[in-house]
Amino acid sequence: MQLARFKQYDQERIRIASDNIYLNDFEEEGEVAPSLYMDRKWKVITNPNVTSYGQVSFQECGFIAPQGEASVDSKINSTYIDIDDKSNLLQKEIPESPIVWYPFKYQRATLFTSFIKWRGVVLKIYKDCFLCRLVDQDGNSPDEEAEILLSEISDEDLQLIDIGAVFYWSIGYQTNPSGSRTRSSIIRFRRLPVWRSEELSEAQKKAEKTLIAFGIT
Amino acid sequence: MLTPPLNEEVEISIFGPGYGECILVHIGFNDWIIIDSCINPSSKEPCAVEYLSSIGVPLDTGVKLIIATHWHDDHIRGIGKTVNSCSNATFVCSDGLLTKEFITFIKAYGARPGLTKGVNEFDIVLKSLETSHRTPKYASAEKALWKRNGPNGKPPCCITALSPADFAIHLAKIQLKELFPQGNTTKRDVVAPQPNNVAVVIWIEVGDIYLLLGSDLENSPDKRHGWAAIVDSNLRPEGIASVFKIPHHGSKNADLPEVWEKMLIKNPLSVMTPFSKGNVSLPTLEDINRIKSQTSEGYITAPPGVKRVKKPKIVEQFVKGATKSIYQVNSFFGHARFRADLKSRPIDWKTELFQSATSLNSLKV
Repeated sequence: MQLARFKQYDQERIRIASDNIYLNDFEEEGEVAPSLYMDRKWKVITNPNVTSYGQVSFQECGFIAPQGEASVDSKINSTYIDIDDKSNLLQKEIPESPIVWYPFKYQRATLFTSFIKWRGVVLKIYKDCFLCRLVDQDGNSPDEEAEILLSEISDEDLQLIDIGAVFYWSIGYQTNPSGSRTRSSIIRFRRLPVWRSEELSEAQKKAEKTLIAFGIT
Repeated sequence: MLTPPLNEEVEISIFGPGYGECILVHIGFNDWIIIDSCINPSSKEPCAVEYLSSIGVPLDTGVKLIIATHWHDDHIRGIGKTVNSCSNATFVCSDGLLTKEFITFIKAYGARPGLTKGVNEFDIVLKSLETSHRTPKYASAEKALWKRNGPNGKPPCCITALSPADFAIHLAKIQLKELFPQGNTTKRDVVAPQPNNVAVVIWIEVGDIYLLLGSDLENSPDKRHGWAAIVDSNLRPEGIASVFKIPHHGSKNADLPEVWEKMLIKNPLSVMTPFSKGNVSLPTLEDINRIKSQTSEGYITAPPGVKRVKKPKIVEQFVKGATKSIYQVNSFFGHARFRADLKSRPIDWKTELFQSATSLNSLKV
């Protein structure tokens, strides 16, 4: 049985972390629609054989109709699940911590073993570099700030650089399906979702409630 | 270090981890004021809560006022937990933040934990105040924030805001309105805009001891706000201060000679925190020399500058190739403590420096 975890680290983003000894450092990130998961704790599982950088899609358990391959298990509260046991899938109730089964692809993955993984946010942009805050995702080292050269960013990601933009920087080595290893530094900017008018209306309602509580009208 | 001040002692404690600051003032008889908040890099706890707990101050009754001089990341880290812990303290923030737009902005971004913490901390504060049925107080120039009339032998105490001026509040409201996200625009982390129009400068008088705490207020060519507006105001409280929290980490653009001439005694006890961000490191050598020309009693919670985090060789190689610079955000941490008897004259400040705190005279410049 091969298992993996999706670990939530904010309402909109997850990390898939394999618990397979051979894939111990494999990680992948994906985004979920905030409308489905905002203000709710949830868990997602998958098979570790998902290809690196594959597109990830999600369904909330029983609440949104599964699109073919996605199924859920609402009874298991563990982070781990045996993907072969589907007897409890497709429950109607929304559990407190829904678990989403992610369909896997039987392909050999290019694995990335990281020595350090930072989450960064752009603070200031200069002509040839940008200033950013870096937070070690494993919490092993203190927060840092760096001026990263724009030449390190892929053409595709350059257009995403803006004040407040979020990115991930991993340094480690890649193991190709053939088994060869290459040292690697990968900086990838997040494709951030947009503000929806419903979210802004909700924020306005909350603000009005707060102002009333403070006696300010 | 763990000895609390005597009832008849005034204490000013300033904490600075290299990025951030927190000031505690004991105004006698176990009444405390907290101004801004930062995190102890070692314990990850808010400095104020940690220190007061360590010297046995009851947080629920001992802390009277918590002031957030502005919402920049380096002045607000841990303030949510501080407001939660000090359950009877009045929370004060700048009048420039008294807008539906700003609170909506906080509510929108507060639900999205980001790396820049100012918004999230402010959201925690608002929730804590609502839950505990406390109403925040808004600070603006020449507004009294808290007063103790001096019953039961306690010395009278008055805490007054000297800023933001009305015009600064006007500018802040325009600035903050622009931060509010529009529909279908990309969600990003919030980075506080410049200039800082909402900084709250605090004036504290305890008996006949006066303290001037300069926040991050800077000078402005427009005399309707900034330090010139404070100096020129005929409504600010009378008195000259013997202690000065130097504004904006000692930067030149926050230094107005008239402040030293008209609001401070000669050779005042002066203290500041350092700041590092990108190619900006404050105070500069020029700043230190300028401040030393005004006082021989200058202190800083840590020497200006940064240090690098040690990394494995392979990581270091990639980092070196990809960056122009990289440094630890909170490279140092220090605590400067000053205590003086409320009655004995002349005022004799007893100085104690912990961790990285040092006097400006001992810095190699």
